[in-house]
Amino acid sequence: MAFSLKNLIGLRRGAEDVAAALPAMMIEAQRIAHNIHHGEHAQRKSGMGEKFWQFRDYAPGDRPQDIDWRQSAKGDHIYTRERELHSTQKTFFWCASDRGMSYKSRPSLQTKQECAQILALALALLTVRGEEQVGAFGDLLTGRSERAVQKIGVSFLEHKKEERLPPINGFSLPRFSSFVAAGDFLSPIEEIEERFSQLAVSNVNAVLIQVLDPSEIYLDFNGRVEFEGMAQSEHETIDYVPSVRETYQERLRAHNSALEALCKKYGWHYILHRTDTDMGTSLWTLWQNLQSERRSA
Amino acid sequence: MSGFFSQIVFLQPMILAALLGLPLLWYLLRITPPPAQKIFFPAARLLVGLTSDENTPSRTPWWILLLRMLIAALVIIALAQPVKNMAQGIEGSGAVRLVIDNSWAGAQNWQQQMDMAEELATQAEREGRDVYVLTTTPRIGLDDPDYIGAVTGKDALSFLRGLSPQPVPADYAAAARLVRERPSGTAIYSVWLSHGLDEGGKMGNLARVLQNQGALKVVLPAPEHMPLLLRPAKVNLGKDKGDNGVSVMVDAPSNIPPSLPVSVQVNGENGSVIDIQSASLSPGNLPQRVGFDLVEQLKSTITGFKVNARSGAGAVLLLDERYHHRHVGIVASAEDMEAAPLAEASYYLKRALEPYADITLGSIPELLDKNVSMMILPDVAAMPSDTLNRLEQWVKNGGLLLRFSGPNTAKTKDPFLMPVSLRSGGRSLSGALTWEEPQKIEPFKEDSPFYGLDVADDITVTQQVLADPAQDLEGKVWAQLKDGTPLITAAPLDRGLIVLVHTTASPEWSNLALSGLYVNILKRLQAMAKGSSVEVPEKQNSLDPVVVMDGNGRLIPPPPGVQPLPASGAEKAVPDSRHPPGIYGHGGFQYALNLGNALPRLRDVGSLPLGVERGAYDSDYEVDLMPPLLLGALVLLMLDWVVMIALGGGFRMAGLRKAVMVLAVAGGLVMPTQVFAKDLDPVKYTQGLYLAYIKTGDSALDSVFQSGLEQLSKALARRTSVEPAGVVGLDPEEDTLAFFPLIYWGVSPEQSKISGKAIQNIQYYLDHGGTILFDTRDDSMHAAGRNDDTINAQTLRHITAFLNVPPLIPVPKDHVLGRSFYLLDKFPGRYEDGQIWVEQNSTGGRDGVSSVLIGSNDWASAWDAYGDHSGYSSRRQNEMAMRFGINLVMYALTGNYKADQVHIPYILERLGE
Repeated sequence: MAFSLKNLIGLRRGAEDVAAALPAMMIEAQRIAHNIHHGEHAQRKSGMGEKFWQFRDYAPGDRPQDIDWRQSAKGDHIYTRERELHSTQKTFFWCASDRGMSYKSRPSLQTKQECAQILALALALLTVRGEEQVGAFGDLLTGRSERAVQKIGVSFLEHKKEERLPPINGFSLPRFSSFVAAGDFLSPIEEIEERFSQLAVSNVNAVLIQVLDPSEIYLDFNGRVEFEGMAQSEHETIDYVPSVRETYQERLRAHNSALEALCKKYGWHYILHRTDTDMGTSLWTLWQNLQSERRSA
Repeated sequence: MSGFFSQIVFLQPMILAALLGLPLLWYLLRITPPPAQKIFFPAARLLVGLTSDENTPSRTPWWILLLRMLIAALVIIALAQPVKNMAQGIEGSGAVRLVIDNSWAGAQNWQQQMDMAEELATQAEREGRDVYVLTTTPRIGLDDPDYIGAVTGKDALSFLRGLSPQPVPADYAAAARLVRERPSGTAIYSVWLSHGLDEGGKMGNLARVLQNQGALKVVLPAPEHMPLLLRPAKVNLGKDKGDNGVSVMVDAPSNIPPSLPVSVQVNGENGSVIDIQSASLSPGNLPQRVGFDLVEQLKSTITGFKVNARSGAGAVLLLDERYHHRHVGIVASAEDMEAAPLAEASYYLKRALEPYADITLGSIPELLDKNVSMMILPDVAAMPSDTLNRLEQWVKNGGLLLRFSGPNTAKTKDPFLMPVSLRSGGRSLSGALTWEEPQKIEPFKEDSPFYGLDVADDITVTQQVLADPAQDLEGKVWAQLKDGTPLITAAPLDRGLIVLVHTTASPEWSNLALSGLYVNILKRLQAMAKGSSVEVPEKQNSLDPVVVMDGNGRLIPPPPGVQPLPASGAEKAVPDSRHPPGIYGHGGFQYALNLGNALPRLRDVGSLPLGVERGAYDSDYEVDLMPPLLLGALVLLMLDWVVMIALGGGFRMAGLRKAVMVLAVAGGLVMPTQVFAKDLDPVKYTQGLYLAYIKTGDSALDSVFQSGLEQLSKALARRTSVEPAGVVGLDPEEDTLAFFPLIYWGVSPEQSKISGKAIQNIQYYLDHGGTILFDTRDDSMHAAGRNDDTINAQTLRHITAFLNVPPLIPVPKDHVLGRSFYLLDKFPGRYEDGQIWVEQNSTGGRDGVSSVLIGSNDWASAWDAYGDHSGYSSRRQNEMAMRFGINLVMYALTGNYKADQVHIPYILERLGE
């Protein structure tokens, strides 16, 4: 494929857009992650060095080079410096990027995509602080620093092809890794089921964040509306919206409970976030879920 | 209601046929449903297949249909051009001549004249008839009235709209001459829109001349709208002793209705209203006097009178200094004063009156020659008979003669020029041979002109002259002693007044002369005297116009064509188009030329030549109903639009915002456009620093100023932290000056016609912290000597004459102007050595910045030349000019901030110690 000037300019523009949007996103993610950090994990960071875990009396079978001579010189015992068990888990983040994600029903709201991205990034930040490796879905390279989180942010912001569901070709998750997927998951439940069954092959722990606009939940339109959906077949003109509101909400509830059931089947976590609610609350629930999973793991 | 509709006529009735199409429109609208709101909705998949049982009316509701039908109907009806009270056709078929009475009297029913004239012109246009327009009064500066024709009705309309009333009497003779000079082949139907006065008795003549060329109709105003004229009050001291001298006469023609209410206001300086008095005019009692009861301080600030609710020069009476100044003569010889001043009556009189009047001492003939308005005779009894005759004549003409008694008066036997006859010998109340106590003064009675003055208890009269008891004595007493003997008596003599104080003007007979009451009594008496007559300064044979009235009675700077008033006949001058009413004068002397002084008795139209039709102004003028109908349709259209938004899916924020915006735009269209006309955009000009200059009206000069200041802006931005956002040319009359800290004013001769509004604007700017650099651009203030007579310097003087400019001094050596950024000794522009003048003491609150800087170095040209290096003046001089510009801006912006640095050498010196 030849590089045309137009492509280059587009790429460059995209990069600039990313550069401009990323700090704001990071700040937002940090802001909501900050509260949680203080709530749950403050005591965990107290202590000395990063890698230090505890001193233990020297016992036969220990390697001599593990002896901490400085500590041993203070008394009669000989101590070995024991390091924390290094069993880091990798967590991969994915965010839906289709046209439907950029929907917002009121100017004052954030788009679903913005919400999903910020939630995912905040979660990534928390994960990094928990000394775990994070990476963008589709990129095997993971990291344990804030830079890794930034890389995830960049991958979210890059203009890539529309993804309604996590793609399965070309990349498979490492076994026993964690997977965070954020999106509206409004695709037909059959499609979702098929995709998830393939993801579940890798035996991953997954968290599903379904981000929906309040209008999508309550259908709070009025009068005569022509709805334009994702595909040509999804167009529908409703003469009087309030009359179908009940039915619609019924259908959405059915869809969501099917989704939740699907998650339960694979042992995944499912959470619904509404874009007009506080992201901190959702993040807290998410974090709790991830933690419990880790503790159980 | 039916009455209202019967007055409506459609000019294009054919268009009404379109109303028949409304049912079709109804049908078409009925089958088009309101558009659905289109929304992108990610979850639309879940909606597929849903149908609403209960549906939004997909057909337009009947009331929206009705609304739209109404809109359509309104538009159709509007296009048919409905007109209410359509004008009647004009008689005859030939040309139409409109005679407009645009004299001072016409100003008082001008609106009526114009409404009717416009209606006639419109009607003539409709009927395709030629129109002549004849005015009866020449415009200011012209000799003849206007006579245009034959033109179309439309052209006549635009001419009429340009007409304004004139402040001078009509010239019917000249108008008649104009008509005679242009005979017409065909008959012209004339309509004379009269103001109701027969000015100069020439109306009949003009009517006949008009009649010779065709029929004539004279339209007359209703009796209550007849013109009124303010005349100065003739002083009659005897009759109105209580009116304190402030009164004015309202004159009207005799056909006014009985007891026509009228109110007159007294104007003070700057147009303030001091007092308003009402009166009612009656045909039998004209002119009617209107008196004002004002305190002394206010009286001195009176500048004129005006009839309320009437406009035009006739409803205004200007006062000049004659009105305020009383010329008081005291009969005494100068030698007396020098010999033993404290013994002389004239000394006490002079001291008492000095603050309030001009005083001349002299013999009676001398004082009569000087034309004093009040004369005081302290104990002068006998005089030569010819002097007595002259004095009597003077009193009869309105003089106020104040006499004091004394030994001479007590001895005299002839009662000439006395208010009462006296018993000879006088009366002594305390002395070796009397047993009476010195008498105190009784408080003044209500009918006395001195009523209200405090009588101190310690004033006593020891000797007095006694009046012979006579029948009419009671009415002549203005003040009396406790025992009932008169102290002050007065009697009128024709239009004059003689007042006698029955004791001495010196403390000889009474300590009255030492009291404050003495001063107050004299003050009231002098205020009663009439104003002095004109005393034209010698050597002056003409009086220049200072301000003149326009046709609406407002004072304006003299327009071109106004000529000086010959001084010799000033008092008898009748205002004409070369000499409109106003203030004329020279130096300190001012003379008010009023219509009321000069015009003869006002005469109503009276009888007109045979065959002249009389008409009246009516109020039912033609009203074009098209604009209000279209406006109504527009409002309904917007209502419909708002309803559509509401129906099409609720009030979404975006929709609402759009609606508000459209409403605002529509509102802007509906509102009169002149509201926005020329006002500077305050947001723009407060966002940054703009350098400003005053537009001269000469585009070449303006472009020099513009580019000069632009160069200065560039230099400022390059060299200093001042970064001007741009350069603005200002019109002081229209624009708000307040946004600009510094205004460059290159003087040009065009600016000599600066308007009062502009002056006010500039004064406001200067008073509120603004700084103006006046530049006469002609080296007229060369340091070696001022050469003031250049035209620009004169223009500048003309401009600043109306401004309160504080005292100016040549810029001192260590002035901040030379320190604010660069150190400069000289401030060169295109000329190098010109002097700059700054305020001597900057007013408080201005941070030491002079409000006015005046120079002549043509800086703008030098700044302009800085940009192009082909320059004819030296690069160095341009650079120095630019440095001055930078200093100037810094000075205007930072004030005396750098003034401290002027003292740095001294501060350093002290620190060193």
